[in-house]
Amino acid sequence: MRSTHNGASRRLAPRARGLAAAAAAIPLLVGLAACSSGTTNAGGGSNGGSTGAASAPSAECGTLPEIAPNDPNGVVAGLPAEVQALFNGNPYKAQATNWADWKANGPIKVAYVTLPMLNAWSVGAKATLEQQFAEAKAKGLVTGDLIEEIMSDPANMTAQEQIALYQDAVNKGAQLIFMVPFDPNAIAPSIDAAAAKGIPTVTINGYVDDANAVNTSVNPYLDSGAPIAKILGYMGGKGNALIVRGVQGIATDTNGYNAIQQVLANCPDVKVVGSVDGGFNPPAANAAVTQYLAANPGQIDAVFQVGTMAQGVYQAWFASGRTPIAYVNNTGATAGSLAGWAQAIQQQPGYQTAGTGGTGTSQAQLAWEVGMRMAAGEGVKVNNISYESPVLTNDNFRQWLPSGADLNSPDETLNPEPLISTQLLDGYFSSPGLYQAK
Amino acid sequence: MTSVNAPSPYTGTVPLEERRSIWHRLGRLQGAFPVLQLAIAVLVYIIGITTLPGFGSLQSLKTVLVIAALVGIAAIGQTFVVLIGGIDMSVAGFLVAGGLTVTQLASVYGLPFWAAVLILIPAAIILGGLVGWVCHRFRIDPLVVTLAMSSVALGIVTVQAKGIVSAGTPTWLSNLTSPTGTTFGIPVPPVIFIWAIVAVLLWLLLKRTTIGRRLYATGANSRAAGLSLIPTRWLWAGVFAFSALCASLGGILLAAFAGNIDPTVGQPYLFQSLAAVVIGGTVFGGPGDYTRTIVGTLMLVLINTVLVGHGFPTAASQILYGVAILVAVAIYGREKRLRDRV
Repeated sequence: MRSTHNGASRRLAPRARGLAAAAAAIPLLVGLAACSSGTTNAGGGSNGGSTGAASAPSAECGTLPEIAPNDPNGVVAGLPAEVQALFNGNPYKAQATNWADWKANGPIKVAYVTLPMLNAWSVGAKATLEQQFAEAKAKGLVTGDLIEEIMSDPANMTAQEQIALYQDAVNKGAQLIFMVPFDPNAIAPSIDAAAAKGIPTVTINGYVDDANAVNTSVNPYLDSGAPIAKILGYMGGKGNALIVRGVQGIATDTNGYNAIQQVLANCPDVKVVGSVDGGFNPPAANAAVTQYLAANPGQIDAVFQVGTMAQGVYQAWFASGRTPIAYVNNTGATAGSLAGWAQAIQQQPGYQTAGTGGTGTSQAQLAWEVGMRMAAGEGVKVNNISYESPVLTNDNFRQWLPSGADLNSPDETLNPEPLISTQLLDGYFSSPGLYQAK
Repeated sequence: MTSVNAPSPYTGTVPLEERRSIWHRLGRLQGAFPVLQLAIAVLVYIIGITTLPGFGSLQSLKTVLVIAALVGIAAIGQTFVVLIGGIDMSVAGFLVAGGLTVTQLASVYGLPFWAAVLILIPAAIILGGLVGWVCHRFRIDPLVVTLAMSSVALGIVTVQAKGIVSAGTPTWLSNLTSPTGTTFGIPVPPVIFIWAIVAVLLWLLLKRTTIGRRLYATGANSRAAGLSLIPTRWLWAGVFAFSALCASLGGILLAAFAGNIDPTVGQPYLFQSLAAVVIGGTVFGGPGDYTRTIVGTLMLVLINTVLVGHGFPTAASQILYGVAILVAVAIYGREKRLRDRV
């Protein structure tokens, strides 16, 4: 055996010299990385790399700048003034819809194409559509059963699977399709093919850049920007901020990140000290922020996340035992994130922050009403029903907080108010009131 | 006439044979223990302390160790599977299945935590054991079978959980992995204690028991081991059962750390666990041990944390993971297999 060991060491030895040098490259790379990094002032792009935030007009730090919507054809300009305000800074292109004159002839068959039942949002949206369908059926507005096409494996979702499910809904005779798009670009040709057969599609929580799709999507600029502007006011326009992104490269992340940058652009005394990726997923955000905090015990005054990850940020923060507790924007608040907000106030009296409400339940309610208004012949004017989620502050966030929710709660928030008032929604239609009359 | 071992009177340099001897000794040392990886980990830690203010604090160290413990525990089963010459792609699936069983499933059926754990343990052992048995009996690559079993395990839990694959963790469980958590009043998070105890037990198992010797023998040459009356098929089944069990129980700790569990939370740990094993220097079919995996884990987590601390995106970490794995494979991939040494 001795000779065998010697043999092995001889084989290792000649390599060892070269490989030791190769291995030394790893700490060298880390060292170089350490030397080349640094912090940036607000608006200058984070260390994590900028996606090219749009420049924002000059405004006072802590206010939401007015930014023209993406309205190349002047469609938004033709809407009532109060509805136009809902398009402030909206990056999604507003265009005339092909369903302006569509009307259902009698009771229609309805389908729901959606993602797997991954979380409380998807469960809430599905339950709401089923309930709305049952009520509409009792009124004679719809017929048959709700056709449900649900993707199966949350860990292996593909655009192809959703396209197949969408096509299946068409084959089953759906005359109106509600859908949560997985890949808006990939599904667009299928939506066009269905439209050619006279089948409209109403999206929930997603924007498909297509005149044949009627989107019900929150304005990402207002959704991220409004609560962060309030927080910047609480901070007095100065301090260190960490940004938590979702999945870099996808539209939701890019839009949310750009909104943060646009609001921060007027706050030169706010330093963006770092950026991590949380995957729009509280557990992943928790892990990423925990790791960041381990490496940066220095002062962080605020954590700005692009949406739905405040719960993970609070979990990481409380686990680290840091004080004072950072401002965390509750954009896309969940029961767990609001419980974190309440816990922060309990631990640190005077703590305040801001967020936005909106659940699968309320988003499905909005989409259903839009679809039924279209079927009633109200005449939708634009392909994007843009709305601003209710803004939460210390004064009202407990109205959204379910009783008994804790920091780890996976549930949705309550829905004390609709996403958009009837009056504002009327502004999106040429002949409002026909659906209500039924 | 001068000896080849004497210093050269002209250059004053160390003679060739002596230099070779130094490298031979280093090579032998590296072959026995991942000294290089440990040195890199220490160096990266020093870089972190030097360049990141406060990184050397006790709280930061505890947080890094908590993160490392989660990766290290996820890599336990992978280490054993690699030692017998296999690979386990079901780690992520069993991690999530374990976490969901004690959270969502317990909630749906109104089960107390420990009852859910008692259901989880035999279920994981049976499913994992089945993988090992099938791979050995039908000579199928574990890559395929473990991928399939990952879906099966997750699917079973999903069906039982009424289709809802997201759940919150009981608050009391979070103390296990909280960097501010305590163990019997000692200000060290319980997960670090658990990891340390498990590491000692695994070292004893591999180095001081018949099971350990049989495991190495099977990994070195399954046919020869069989001829030596080692029940290699049962050993394969046992190792994969052990791997599934470790991943499932690790899922409970992951749920405790993450606060919530859903099907995506296990994915990063599949790659990290495999990387920790390979970078630590455990070779497919041996040699290797869990101590090496611990070193590989610490090295990876420290590199990742320092990079994150400097604001580098996830992609930068992935590049370094790749570089580290390539270097490890370059070091150990050409090393003579255990079966060729005996």
